[in-house]
Amino acid sequence: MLRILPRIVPANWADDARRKRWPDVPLTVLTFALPLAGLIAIYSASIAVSYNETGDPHFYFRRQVLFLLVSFAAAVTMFRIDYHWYSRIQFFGISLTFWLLAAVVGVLVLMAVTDVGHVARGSERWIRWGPFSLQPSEIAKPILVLYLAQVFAKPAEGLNRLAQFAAPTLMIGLVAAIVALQPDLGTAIMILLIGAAVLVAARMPFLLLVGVTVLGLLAAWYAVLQEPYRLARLRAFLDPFNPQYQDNVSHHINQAFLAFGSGKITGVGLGRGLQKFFYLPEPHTDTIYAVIGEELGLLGTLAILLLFVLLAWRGFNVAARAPDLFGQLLAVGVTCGLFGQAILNMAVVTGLLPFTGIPLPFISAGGSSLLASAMAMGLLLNVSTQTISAPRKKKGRSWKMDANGNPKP
Amino acid sequence: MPPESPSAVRVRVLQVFALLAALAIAGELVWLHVVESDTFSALAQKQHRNDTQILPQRGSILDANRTLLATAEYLDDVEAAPNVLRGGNLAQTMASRLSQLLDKPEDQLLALLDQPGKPYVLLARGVAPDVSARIQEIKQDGQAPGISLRVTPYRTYPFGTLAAHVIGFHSQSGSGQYGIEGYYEDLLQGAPGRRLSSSAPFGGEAGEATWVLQNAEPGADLVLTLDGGVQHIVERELEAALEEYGASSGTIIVMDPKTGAILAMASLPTYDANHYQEFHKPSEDAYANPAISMQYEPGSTFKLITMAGALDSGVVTPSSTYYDGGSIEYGGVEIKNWDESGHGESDMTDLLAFSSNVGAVHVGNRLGKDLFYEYVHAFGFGAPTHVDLWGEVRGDVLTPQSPNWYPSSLATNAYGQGIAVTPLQLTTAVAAIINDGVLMRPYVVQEIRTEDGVERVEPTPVRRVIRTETARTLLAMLVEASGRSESKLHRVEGYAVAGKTGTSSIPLPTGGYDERFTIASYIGFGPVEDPRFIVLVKIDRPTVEPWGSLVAAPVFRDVASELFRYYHIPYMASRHETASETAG
Repeated sequence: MLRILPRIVPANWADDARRKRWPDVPLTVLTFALPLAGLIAIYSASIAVSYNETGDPHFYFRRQVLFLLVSFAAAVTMFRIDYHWYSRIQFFGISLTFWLLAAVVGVLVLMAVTDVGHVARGSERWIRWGPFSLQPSEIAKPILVLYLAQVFAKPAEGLNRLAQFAAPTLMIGLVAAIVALQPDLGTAIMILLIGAAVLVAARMPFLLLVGVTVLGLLAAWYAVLQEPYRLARLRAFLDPFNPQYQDNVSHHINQAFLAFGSGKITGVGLGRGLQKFFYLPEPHTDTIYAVIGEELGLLGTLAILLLFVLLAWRGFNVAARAPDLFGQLLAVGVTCGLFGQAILNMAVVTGLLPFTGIPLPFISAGGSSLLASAMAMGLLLNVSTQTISAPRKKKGRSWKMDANGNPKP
Repeated sequence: MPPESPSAVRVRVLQVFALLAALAIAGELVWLHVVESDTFSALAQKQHRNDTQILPQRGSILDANRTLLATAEYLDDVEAAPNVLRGGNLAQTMASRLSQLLDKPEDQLLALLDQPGKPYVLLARGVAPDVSARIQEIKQDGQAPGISLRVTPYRTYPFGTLAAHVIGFHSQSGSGQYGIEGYYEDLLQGAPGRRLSSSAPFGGEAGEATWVLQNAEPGADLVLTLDGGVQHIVERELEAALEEYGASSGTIIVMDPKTGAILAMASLPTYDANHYQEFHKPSEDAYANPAISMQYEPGSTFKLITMAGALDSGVVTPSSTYYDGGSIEYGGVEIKNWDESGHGESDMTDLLAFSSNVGAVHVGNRLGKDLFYEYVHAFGFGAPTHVDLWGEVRGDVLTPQSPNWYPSSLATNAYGQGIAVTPLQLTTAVAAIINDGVLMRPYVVQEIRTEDGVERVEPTPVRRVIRTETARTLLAMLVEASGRSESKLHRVEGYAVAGKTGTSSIPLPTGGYDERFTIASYIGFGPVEDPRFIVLVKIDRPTVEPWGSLVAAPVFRDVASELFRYYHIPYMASRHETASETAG
């Protein structure tokens, strides 16, 4: 039942003396810098909520330190595993990545049809096991990337190539739909976004891409119409200061605006913000960026944004220089997952997009998000150790795959 | 060496999209943080206005035996919102329901409650805890709409009038006034904390929770040198004396002469700090402490100061003599003895024993104006003693440089007229003679207790005024003079005490002196071999007798004998006085 495929080494690879052996330095630095910045932000942002819920103002902070240690171990593990292994292991002739995704989807479906899931804040997102709880939808993101990359990395030509897109596209839709039903529209959107990015990188034909996008938007619109509160949020988004919506619906946006506005350029000082005292909803998770904005001002928010821009820049560079399509798609998916979610969170908190609750990767308090982000980062760092150097400008050379998915000379 | 794959082109496209998205966020951040920041921060401040103060617990005031003289407690004020009680006879119902609880007439409450436009009225201040609990019950049953309780710190003075002038009071405006309450306001008041309670900017609810940003820091507790027992004795004796001698007012100070610690300080008439408003008088300051805030001409008690200067500078010795003819002319003014009789050839002890004005003028003249005023200032007259009480005045000492000073001023000043001092200044100055010539700063607070610990106030020497030998010589003279004196009313049987009488004229605001009244005073100490206390008795405008020796000396005797008992000073501890009596 278990089968391990042989390692396929690109023919020209062994000759590449400039192949990197060290992980990408900026990405490595970010792996430490982002969670540490998050820890500082959480220390300040969580005290009121933490005290109110547990009687201990530093409960969330201390728990986050624990999450950080576990996540660091997970990141190191992912970094140490050569990413090719994920596509080489097969059970019953089917790739490990599929089984992993099937397992996650299974858990998500199980949560949807039974009540094993833990409901919090009106949404059934968590699986509880003793003191631990895990959000399967967060773990679904890196696993979906693994699955998609593995499928698209398989060589195919012509119609076969077209047919190759069918199953994964449906799979993206399926996972997104289940997560949206939890209901967790934010994470569902992220899954669609990651999927779309991988489809783009996998060279899905343009027309097909447009079609899928239209389908995705229609599905999203349908999801909005299904829940009155989503529609209300959308209306509130379009007109945030209309008194008609100035109740709880647009409250999120307004309070975040007030936080950013109070922060001005340099902020009111770390720990001195007042918006986290039950004005901002979820100040330690979904709206932590607004807390940073109030306490550290424009300088603070721009600094965090720049860290994520650096992550995207280096992440896409790794993707562009990955030694094979599998690595490239992994890097694209992971980078989109981390950067895209950061941008989505920032866009929501700053009022550029209608409100939906998703955490800011590495910064927001929460174990599942941090664990998933750390695993993704470990994976990306592993790909970065295998990149090939930036190509020289040479005309007339094209890069095509042979039957094994290796570049044709 | 493979170039980037064709799909890498798409990766680059994604990369550019990512940058554009980041740029959009950055633009939005600038808009929020900079362009619109004033609007948003104003809105934020508006909602943060629920940032309220937590009132700190005011520090307590305790006497030397750690008995509470002033305590802070939290009581509820009962408030109502008449605009909630609109319609029907809701106001009537509430008025009758609360009337019994608050012990207020129903129609009075109704008048307050039946003001439909008003959002707030105060029904009762500081209700007892059981009343407050009862109202809370009624509220929980939904039977008291629009009625609320507000926790408010209240100051109470368990002993009412006891030491009221020393303690001062905490006014309803929230600050300490007069005495310790005024002087130590900064320490007693503590630091307020901050509490944040939230509401959404547009009327919605952001959460029920309140958050304590900073706990209130309680004020310091103050332990006084003042002994409630001694204070009680002194106030009782003073009250009796005013009655007995038909006097309008009076002051007694008891001090430890070696440290400057004030053991008791009483003045009558006084007031009850719990109801200080009721004692308010439009014409005069009813709360000022006469012991430090009122000045008077000390009269003969001041001869001790003149004598101290003369002995210390060496212009006279105890055996120096002068001829007392009953009156003397000095600076164009005729100065008479109090009884207008002469004592013939007299020494310095006679001067003190018979309280000779002629002798004082003689000694003052020997001393000379420069040295005389030098000593007067060295003893602390004309300057505040810096006692830790609110509202001290400096007294009035004319110097040869003053335009109103005449050569005759030296003569009158030498026996304590034409010079204004506070009772505390005189007590402190004479205490310096007892304390081997070192002037101490008088003080009332001996311990400041905060959460950080206890700070002890140590006795503070101000300066050496006269030499130790001078001080001891003068004390011996005073003890002997007390024996020689014709008046024996100051004596306490079985104990050695000594002191000096004073009968002074009261200057009129219009100039000259009041012919009808005197201030009768006595400053004495005991036991003489190891003085534990110095007592100043000052009786204003006695009508039965004008003389310090007849009015104030017996009060000193009564206070001293009580103090001997209070401090368990052994009976017949000293035979010194009996010896001096035989000698005299």
